[in-house]
Amino acid sequence: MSRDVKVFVPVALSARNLLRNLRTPMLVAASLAQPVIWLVLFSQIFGALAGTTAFERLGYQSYLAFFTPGMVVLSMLFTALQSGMATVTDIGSGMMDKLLISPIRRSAILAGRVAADAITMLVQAAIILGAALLMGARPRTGWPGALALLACATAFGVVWACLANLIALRTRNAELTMVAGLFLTLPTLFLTPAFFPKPLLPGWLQAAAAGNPAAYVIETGQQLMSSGNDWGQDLRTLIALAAAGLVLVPAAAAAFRAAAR
Amino acid sequence: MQAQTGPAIEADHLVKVYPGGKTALGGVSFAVGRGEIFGFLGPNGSGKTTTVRILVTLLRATRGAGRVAGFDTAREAHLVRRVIGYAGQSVGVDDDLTASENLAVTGFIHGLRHDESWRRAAELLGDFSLAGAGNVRAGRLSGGLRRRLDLAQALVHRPEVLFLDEPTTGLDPQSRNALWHQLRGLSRDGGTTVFLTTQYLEEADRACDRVAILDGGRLVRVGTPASLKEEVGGGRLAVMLGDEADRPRATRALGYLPGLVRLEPGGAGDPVVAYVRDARASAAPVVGLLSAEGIGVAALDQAQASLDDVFLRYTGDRPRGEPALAGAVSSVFVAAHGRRRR
Repeated sequence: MSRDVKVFVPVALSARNLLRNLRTPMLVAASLAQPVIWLVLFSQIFGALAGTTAFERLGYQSYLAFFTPGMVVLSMLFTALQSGMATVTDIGSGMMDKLLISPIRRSAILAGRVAADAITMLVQAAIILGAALLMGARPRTGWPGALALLACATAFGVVWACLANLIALRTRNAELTMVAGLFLTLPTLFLTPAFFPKPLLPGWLQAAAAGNPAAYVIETGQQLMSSGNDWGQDLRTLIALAAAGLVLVPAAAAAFRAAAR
Repeated sequence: MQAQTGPAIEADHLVKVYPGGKTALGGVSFAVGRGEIFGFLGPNGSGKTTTVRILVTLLRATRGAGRVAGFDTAREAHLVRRVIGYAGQSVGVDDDLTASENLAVTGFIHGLRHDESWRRAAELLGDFSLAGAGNVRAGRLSGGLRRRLDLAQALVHRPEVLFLDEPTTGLDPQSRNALWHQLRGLSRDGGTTVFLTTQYLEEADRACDRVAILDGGRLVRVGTPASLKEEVGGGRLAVMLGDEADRPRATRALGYLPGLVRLEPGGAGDPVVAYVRDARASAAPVVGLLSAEGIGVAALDQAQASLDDVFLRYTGDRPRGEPALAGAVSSVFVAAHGRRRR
């Protein structure tokens, strides 16, 4: 019964990254605090929207349930940014050099990073969903829909973490990564139907949302939570996620390969 | 995995021009034998770290080639990475992991199996006097302990060729001695090749089999510390004359000194200084030559040349930007002109 087994490097690296998150719980809390506060605040502010005929005619039931996916995605955006920051920290501390001079595949460094992100994100998404349930939201599509929302949001978070890591590796600078990341975070959220149903948004915003993978994930989430599943939208969301992933995952992997110049 | 012949490290006309046009290396060539401890010396900004980073595959040379254990550092980087260990100038430890965990993770990424990694971690905690720190997060350790942990990480997988960039900087004297002791052991018993850069010439003198002196991106000297010291005159004999009037005769007489490299007659009140290959061997002849001429000697001072003298002679300078040597005024100048500290 020897434990002398070959260690799978991406698992070891993601365990390392997860340990760091666990030992700095403030980081995880920071990614959760704003979305949860916003969830409470905005569901109160815009709650009256649910009573309007425009909202009801679109099939949505409760504003809280409608709003939850937007806040789940916001939490993913923050955690993705932290993933980029962790990579900059590794570069600055010399940890990245230690990884780069070892015989592991460069893609294993990325895989170890985003695997840990995925687990963190899944837990965060579940916490926000749990908060919404506590506040009285009931997913229209039940448990399968709720789980689908978590999976969808996590997949989006991983793709976004690749973007953050790409920025981190290109700039190699904590301030720049932070600024670029924050600059992207809020517009990414606002160019979605997170606050208002898509058909009620102005035309230019709808057009912008069409190029924003976060908008697809949020819209699917809103249907799962509030108005009922739409397979057509599900398919569009999968295609949007796959397209973003096909661009950003290889780009981030290439950036890790180029990190030793 | 490789025929164990040929040098452990080769640099073949390495040139590095950084984006922006700064030439860090202007064609550097040298070879390091297997099991050798090779010291790379040079003023700040001379290209030491650039050379190390090229050899450990972190940086691409603009021209020229580096080879480690026979593998090309650019085209066969993945093979080079299987045989090297590296500790850079910045301490590459994960502050959120404990000392043991840091070492074990390093073992994992270098292909050690699970048990072996943890066993090596425990072993190295002992070797580097970190036993009490095993379960402490690295971020809570003192600077010196983190540095030791960083060096221990470089050894977890028992690399064939070890690269250390200023390993003793930031270590207290005991830790330094312990590190040298360990490096000598690795070199002698394990045949590990050690390539290191250092600012401490005295350490290099005592511990390195050979040293190279780099200045302005060019290699100015390579050799054993003893041979380099001999080149500048391994010893220094200073003769205080009993009578100032004897100076011309004394200078002429000392010209016949066996092993003489250079003679400085000096001015009134100065000693006559003879740089010789070996101070001890030449001391008696000095007395002999002078007494044969009837010249009285008030005092004779003998000293061995140090690597410092070699460094000064070939780089024409003390290590650049070092406040203790360059003085307060020039360190202000250095700061104002933003010269990099390394």
